[in-house]
Amino acid sequence: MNAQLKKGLLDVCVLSALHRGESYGYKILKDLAPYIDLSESTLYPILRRLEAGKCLKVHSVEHEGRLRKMYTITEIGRQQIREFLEDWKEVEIIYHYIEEGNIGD
Amino acid sequence: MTKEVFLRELARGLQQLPAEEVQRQKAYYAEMLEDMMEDGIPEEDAVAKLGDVSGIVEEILQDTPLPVLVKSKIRPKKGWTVSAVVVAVLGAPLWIPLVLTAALLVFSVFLAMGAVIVAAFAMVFALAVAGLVILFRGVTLFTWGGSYVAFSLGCGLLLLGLTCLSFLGAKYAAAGLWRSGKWLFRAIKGMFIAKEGE
Repeated sequence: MNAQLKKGLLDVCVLSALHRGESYGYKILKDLAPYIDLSESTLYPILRRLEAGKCLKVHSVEHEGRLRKMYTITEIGRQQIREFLEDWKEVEIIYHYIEEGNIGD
Repeated sequence: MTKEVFLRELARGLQQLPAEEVQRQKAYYAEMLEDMMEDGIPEEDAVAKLGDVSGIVEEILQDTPLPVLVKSKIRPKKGWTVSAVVVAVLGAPLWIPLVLTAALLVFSVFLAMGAVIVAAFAMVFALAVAGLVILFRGVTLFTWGGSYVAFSLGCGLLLLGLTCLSFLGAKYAAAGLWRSGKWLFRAIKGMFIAKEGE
């Protein structure tokens, strides 16, 4: 997928993974793996950015004698997903326009 | 490479960042590696899956805002000791103008690049206006005689042709300057990213 296009989708993908229930770094990557290619080093800045934007909340839980950071989506995060879905309707109109122009190519 | 070695090299690569951020990065990658190992991936494979440490470090530093890098770069190695403060204060008449000059120089380079782009498109615009005016005059002043009209039309069309050519040139020049500007910005940022062992 085009890098610019993918960049715009990643934040919403992470939010959507959290919308299904609170999660942690490795699980987010595993949940998203079938859909989008996301590396460990790419996920970190996304989580930081979403946290700074109050789209998610972080708390630590103890797991097997170590700490694990759990991420929970907030109302602002849910709003971001809704806005994305709304925006996508416009994208679909543009998609059909581009597709029509490409017929017979 | 083991988890411990990976985390140590990561911390060493990021040492110019605030200690709190280094801890945060270390904790993130430690958790990631432990989760992978818990999932049945052998330690060495888990570390290999993360990729090259230097690549990760480079990515993190290039993502760090320039002011944070500058601030950490000018911080003395052993913190602000009394002698470092004295040297900084006494040297102020020397280093303040130097830093200011360097900053203004960089600023003027970016400004000049922008000015060249604006000037190129202004030239294209001027050619287009001149071409249209001459063409229009040639048509409206047809009573002056055939040779004048032909000359005006010819000049007008020539200028419009030049407009098209120069627009293409200006477009490529602008795109090239834009790329150079971006490259320059990354290079300047790179200057504030400490090299290994510094």
